[in-house]
Amino acid sequence: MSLSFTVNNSQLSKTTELATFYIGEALCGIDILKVQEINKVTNLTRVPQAPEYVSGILNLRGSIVTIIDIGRKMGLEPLEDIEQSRIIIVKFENEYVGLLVDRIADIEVAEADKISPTPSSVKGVDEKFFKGVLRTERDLILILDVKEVLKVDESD
Amino acid sequence: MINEDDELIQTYVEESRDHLSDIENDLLTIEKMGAHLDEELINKVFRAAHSIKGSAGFLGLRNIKDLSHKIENVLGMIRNHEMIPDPEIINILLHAFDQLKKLINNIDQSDQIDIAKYVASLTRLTTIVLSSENKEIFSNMVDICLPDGNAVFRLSEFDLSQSKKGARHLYLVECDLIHDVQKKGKTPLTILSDIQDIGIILESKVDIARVGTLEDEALPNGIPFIILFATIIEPDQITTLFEIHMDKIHHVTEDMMIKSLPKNEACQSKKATDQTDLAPEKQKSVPTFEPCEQRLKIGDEHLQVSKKETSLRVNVGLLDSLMVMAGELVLSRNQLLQAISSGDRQASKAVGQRIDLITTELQEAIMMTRMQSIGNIFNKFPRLVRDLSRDLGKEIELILEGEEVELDKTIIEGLSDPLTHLVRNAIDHGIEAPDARRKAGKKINGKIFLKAYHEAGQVNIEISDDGKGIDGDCLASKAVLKGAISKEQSIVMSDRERLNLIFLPGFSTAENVTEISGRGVGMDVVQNNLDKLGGQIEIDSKPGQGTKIRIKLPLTLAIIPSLLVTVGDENFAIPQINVDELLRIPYTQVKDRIEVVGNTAVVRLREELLPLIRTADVLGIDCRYIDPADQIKKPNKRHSIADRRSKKSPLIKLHYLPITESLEPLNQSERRTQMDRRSRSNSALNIVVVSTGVFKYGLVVDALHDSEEIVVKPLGRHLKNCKGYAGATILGNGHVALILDVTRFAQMAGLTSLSGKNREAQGIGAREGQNIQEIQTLLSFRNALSEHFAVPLNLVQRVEKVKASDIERIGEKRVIQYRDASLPVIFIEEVAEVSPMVPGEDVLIIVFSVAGRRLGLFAAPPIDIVEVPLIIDDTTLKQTGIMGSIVIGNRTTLFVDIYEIVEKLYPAWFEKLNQNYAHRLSD
Repeated sequence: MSLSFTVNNSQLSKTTELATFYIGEALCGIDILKVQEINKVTNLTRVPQAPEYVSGILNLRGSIVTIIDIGRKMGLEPLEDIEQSRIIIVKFENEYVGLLVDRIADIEVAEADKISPTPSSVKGVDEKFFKGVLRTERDLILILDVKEVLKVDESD
Repeated sequence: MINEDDELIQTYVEESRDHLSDIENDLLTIEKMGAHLDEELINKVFRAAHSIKGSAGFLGLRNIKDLSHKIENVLGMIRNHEMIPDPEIINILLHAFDQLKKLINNIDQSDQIDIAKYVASLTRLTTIVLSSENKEIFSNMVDICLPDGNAVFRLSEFDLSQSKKGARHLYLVECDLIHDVQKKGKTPLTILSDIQDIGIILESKVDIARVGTLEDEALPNGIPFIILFATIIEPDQITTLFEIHMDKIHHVTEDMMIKSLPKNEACQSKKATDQTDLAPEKQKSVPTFEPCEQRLKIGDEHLQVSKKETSLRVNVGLLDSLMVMAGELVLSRNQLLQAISSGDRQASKAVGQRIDLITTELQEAIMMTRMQSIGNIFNKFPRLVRDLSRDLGKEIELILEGEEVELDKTIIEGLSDPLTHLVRNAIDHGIEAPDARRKAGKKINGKIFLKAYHEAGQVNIEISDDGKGIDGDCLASKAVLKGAISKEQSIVMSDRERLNLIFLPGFSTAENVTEISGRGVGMDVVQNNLDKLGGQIEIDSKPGQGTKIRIKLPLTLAIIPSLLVTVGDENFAIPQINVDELLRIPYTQVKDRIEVVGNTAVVRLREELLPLIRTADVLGIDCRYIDPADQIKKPNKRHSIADRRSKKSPLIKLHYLPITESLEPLNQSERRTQMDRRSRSNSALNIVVVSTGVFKYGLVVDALHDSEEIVVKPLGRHLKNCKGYAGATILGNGHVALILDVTRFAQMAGLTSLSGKNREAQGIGAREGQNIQEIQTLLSFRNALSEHFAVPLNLVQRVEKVKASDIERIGEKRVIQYRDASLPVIFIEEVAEVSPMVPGEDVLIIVFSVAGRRLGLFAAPPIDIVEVPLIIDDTTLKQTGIMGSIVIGNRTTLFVDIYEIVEKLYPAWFEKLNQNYAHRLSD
């Protein structure tokens, strides 16, 4: 049992599949294993007095999911075109959270040796939100640090 | 070393907790019965201690084994009538059991917890009884050997002699963990409990040493598990009981016992320390060990335990029925899918109904699994009352009622703390000392009733005592001292409100802070805890007669009936338990019903002024109204935010409208459009009158909907700082609605329980302390929009509302028909130089009685009664008819001199009443 585990582990560290999406102009990605599902934006209930980056809450088969406009959280403009936008549901510290993104892109395979450290500021966003950058033939994919993005600011 | 995940340990912990759960009350009963022993009961307690000991030995829990063993010794002596259970003994036993509970709850660290104190006290108990020459049997140790001569156990002679009482035989059983236990599908614990059914286990252990080492050539073919036990079963029958080869069961005879040296040196020194521990204690008649602290923690410890509990016992029948219903649900789903795919509407309708039924049943059944009887909490109070009353030297009888009432598990858990606090309060502050009770002519033993019962779909819990009660005036004066309320407030408060002061944070009623109470955890915490459970608390107290505290709780937290309302674009749910009534004030009545006090809008409801909160304002969202032209919701942009927050809140403006229309031509157009839209939108004010248990207020919402049963869901971590919500729920259409927390909401809006009274004392605060003036009750009103007036209330006979058309003009004078007579009515401006009033359709007339005759004075609303110290500035604004000015609620108010007005207009009415007026004013 312990043998097979180590094999798996080493494979994981070599390649990761990333679900990619756009936040504004930036192409970002998160580990696909963290993604529970991707939904259209429907029936969002706004929460007055909530922090600005909380777009609202919605019903995910009986659970209340908080929807975070991650662009907003990272200091970008609030999302406008709701038609294209999607909600990526991730499980974060025993709670489902929805990431509101501008639109969904492909799934990319990231090999560990192709991931480079994040430059200090990418497209006006603080580097702390990213784990690294994946260079593909066409694009640069910013790998999102979900933990950092979903951190609750004590000030809100 | 011990892993708590270990299933065996888990089972052991759960079983032990079960054993210990009723011990307290059993011991208390034993105490009450004294010498008239209930064999059954003492046996039960004995068995509990015994089973805990038995398995502890096997699991290697040294401390637990030692402590339960000592407890068992004492209990055994009680059982054999060698000892009569007096309060002292019971006390020691209770504490020992407490410690045992602690050990079991912290099973991982149990060997690190100090038990020497308890062991010493228990040992002392057993030694006291024995005669002095017998005492050495404690120190004499006996080794029990296997027939091959290997010593396996070492026991004190005392233990041996105790176990052999009643013609018991001692047996040594060698089981093999591999062959006799595991291969037969048993666990060591079942073996132990089997043996316990027939006898008493003295010792048990797994003999690892005899397994052999890895260097041995042959792998060990067994792990010996040796049990020493005593039973009445004769040697020739014993083998039939075990599925073990008879060679492995040894009847312990004298030659298998080897008396060893009294104790090894380590034991000696330990004993020495024990004795030094004992020495000072022995001098006291009552052996106490840090009683207060120890006992006070009882409640907290209980709570911790209940928090830790993650498993729940469910009736098997209930579980079965759940299973059946789940099966039904699956069946119905299949039918539904079928019906949908075949497009059979009739069938899908039928299935829909079935699913409806099943879900309802399923829901009820699942709720049942969460129900626990309140006895779980109540049962710990006899002990609490006993211990505390002993400490305080009071005699208190606790009467429990309705222990079988069931509540949701979450509520039971959350209720433990507040209830403990309340009972503690009743013992410490409620019931007087015996002397005081005798003096007051009461029975010496005080009574505390704890009662739970169902009422109107809620559970009520009453805690009442026949003690000294709570003195509301005392509370009030204390609150004034602490600066929580002003002196004026304290005077105008009702009795209920005074008692409610006890819920103010940091408020302690104790004259002296005692060990038991006044530890900074006040009634406000109790209230907060109950708030979280959706409960309400009421206090009723008569000084000298006692206090009754009533707690109202919902049966369950998970599903609550709620009122749905709309504010802005969103739906919100308000728990029905908080909703007192619904008010709809049509546009035309807004001006009459809504008044402005200070900067809060209030509605007059059955002689009570209710402060109003606009939900949209607190939430910072826009109101909506439905445009009658196209039936579409449109944003109501009447007010900017800054405007809203300013004194002229929208409600006030509405109220001003009818009067100001022609008065301020500059603003007219703006105001008119507002009014027009308001009337055209035909929007009435929808008010939900909510109660937080302590006070009531009105929530103004955009629309009211149905009441629905909602399921409360928690909000995510990102929303934890949004204080106004108690959670969220999913509505029938799949949308999410937020649940409003009315208590927090009031706090957010700056409304506190005292604000209703605050307004009356507004403006006094600043002057407070300078010189306390005479308090005068005044009737305040307005004449022109911005000018405020007041008259002493005792001069006012009535306030009448009449139609403007009813006013008759005769020359310069105006009169109306009033009680079959002509009542002269005047404007203030006829006498004094103030802005003239512009009467609307309806006018208010304040009727005075002056010199035996009546006089009416035109006034504009809002009319309010205020109590203020009479500090009249009689120079600045003094003029004919105006005695001077006072400040009420941050506003300069002209004090009307009604006598001067009468003197001026109707000089004939009175000649000699001038001095009388001065006299009446000072009344």
